[in-house]
Amino acid sequence: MPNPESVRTALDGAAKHLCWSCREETGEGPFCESCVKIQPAELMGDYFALFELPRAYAVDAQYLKNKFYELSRKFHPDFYGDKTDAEKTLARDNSAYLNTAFRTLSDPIKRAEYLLVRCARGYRVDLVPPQGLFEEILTAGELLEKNSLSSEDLTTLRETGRVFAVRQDERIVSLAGLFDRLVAGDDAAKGEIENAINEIKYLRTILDRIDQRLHKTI
Amino acid sequence: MAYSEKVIDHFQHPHNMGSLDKNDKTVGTGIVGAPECGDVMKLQLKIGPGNVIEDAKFKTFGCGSAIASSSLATEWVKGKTIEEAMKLKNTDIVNELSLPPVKIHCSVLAEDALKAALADYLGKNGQKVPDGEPEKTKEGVS
Repeated sequence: MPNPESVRTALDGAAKHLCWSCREETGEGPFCESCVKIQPAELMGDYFALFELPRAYAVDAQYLKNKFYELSRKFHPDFYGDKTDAEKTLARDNSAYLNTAFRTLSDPIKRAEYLLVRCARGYRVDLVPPQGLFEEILTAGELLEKNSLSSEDLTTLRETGRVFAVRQDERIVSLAGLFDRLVAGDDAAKGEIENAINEIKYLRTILDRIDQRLHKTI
Repeated sequence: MAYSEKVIDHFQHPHNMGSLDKNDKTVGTGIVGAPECGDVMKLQLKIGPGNVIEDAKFKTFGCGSAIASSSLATEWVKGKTIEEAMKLKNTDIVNELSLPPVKIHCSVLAEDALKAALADYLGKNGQKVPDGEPEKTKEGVS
């Protein structure tokens, strides 16, 4: 497992920005260190940098939530009512940027795709369609098409859903290790990551449909 | 979203839903998926003498447009030769079903499934896939 700090420095480099208002160096945070005015959140770097996270797939959900609330309060347009128009606009833009960042990092698929774009070095991979999974999805799909489900069907559907859910979680967990490999320079991990992301997408769709059907039936 | 009447008709009364024996040497099977929407489509063709497609079946897990696209594709290729079926383009399906831009990937999936099924049959029988279509199974563009 690579050291998170070294990874981040290696990927981001050291970017310095000047404050739009006082023209001094802003420092790393979202507020200028000299004049304390709000700065564009994009300048802090990508979503991981905004949340002060290393560029790694594994993310602590509670930390993410806390950081989101903390930053939301800092950027909330309500607190900028008596500020200049420029600051109001920045507060609004930063809030939007923060919301998108939070949505992206909270979602296992979106986070993987976002991170992949930032780590991958232009290396084409051949996707391997999960043929076995396709067959299982079609079988489950047939059950979902039925107008009424017998108690046996319901048991099968619940069990299928459970198996798919376990596999989805396993794939999500596997992404953390795959991204560590990719960040450490193992290009072959990219293909495995893309295949895992696709598999999670298929699983999520069929799981949603199974959930809908089970809730409708109860 | 509003579906066209033809989509609704194919969706409510799908033609050729079902399966053929994939171990049969005269049957070609193509299973493809589109990760963006999670749709999965299986298309099977039974090929008779003179490379004529005698029967076509499909099974689709997906939205109404995906089901309609596979229903239409199986309907069209029945009675055609492999060479003729190879020429089917997703745009033909788009036009026939008046698919909106967000549903074009459903027609791509149907074209991919058809090509995969033809490739599977040709591979099984030691024949070559005609020029320009080297693909076997692949994931649909979405």
